[in-house]
Amino acid sequence: MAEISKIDELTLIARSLAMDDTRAFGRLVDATREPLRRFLFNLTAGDASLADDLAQNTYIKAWTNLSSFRATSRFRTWLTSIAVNEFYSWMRSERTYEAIADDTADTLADTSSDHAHFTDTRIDAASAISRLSPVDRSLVLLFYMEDMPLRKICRMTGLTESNVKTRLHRARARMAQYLSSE
Amino acid sequence: MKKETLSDKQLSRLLKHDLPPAPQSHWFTRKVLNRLPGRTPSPIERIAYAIGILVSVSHAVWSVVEVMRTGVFTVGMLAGVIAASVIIMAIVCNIIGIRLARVDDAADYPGVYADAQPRS
Repeated sequence: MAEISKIDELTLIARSLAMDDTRAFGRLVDATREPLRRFLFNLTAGDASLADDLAQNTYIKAWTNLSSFRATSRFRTWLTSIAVNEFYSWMRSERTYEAIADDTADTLADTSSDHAHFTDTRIDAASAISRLSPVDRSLVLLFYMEDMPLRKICRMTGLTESNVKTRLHRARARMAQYLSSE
Repeated sequence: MKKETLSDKQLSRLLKHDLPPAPQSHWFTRKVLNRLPGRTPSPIERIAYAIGILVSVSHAVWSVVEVMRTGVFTVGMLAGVIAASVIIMAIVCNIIGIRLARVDDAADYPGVYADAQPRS
């Protein structure tokens, strides 16, 4: 999907808000869905169906709260913060998550074998990140993949800055250890 | 991939380039659009609509009472009744129009309906 400029983005948001224009919102979804789905796919450690459910809920929340969007950030950044909240809410509602998370590396390996375009490096990266706890995984993805500043991550996750830094340091070491053993 | 340590830059590059994308879902956007709830008017809109309808209906009733009392129907009264009708119609059309526009937009989006199956 082609990226849209910030002006186009604001125009589409204004149309969605003022005229209840679902077609304009559809264009926003089209322009942002692949990065968001990729983020959630890796956040859920390769659970495509859960990732799509969370992504759909994210867009529905965005639609219903569109008037609270502040144009100081990009629409995608705002979506990512909603997606993280959705993921955390889902985690709180699922007691079995840790059990699922323990099994994720195998799941990812199986999933990737269904997709011929997955290279070995991709499987390595996906396996390495899936070995982290869900919270650490969200921090790593937000900081290293989404380039989100620490302050924003703290606001989003409710963790202190020192806690985020410690978790990121530990996660990086764990990933390095896994990748070096491969 | 063999690495003993990972710098911030390396990890960032690794995640940005090597993490797999989500499997393709051609029906994702239409599923989202299909689930969008209707937007309810804001409290300010509701108040504006209510005042508009109240004033228009009051004026229409007053005009009818005046005509019955005096037996005279002036051009001013006719204009007032027409204006009141137009305002009421505009408010109703605005509310219904939004709903109609949403249905049209959804129909324009290919396969937006929930039961639509992927074409083989």
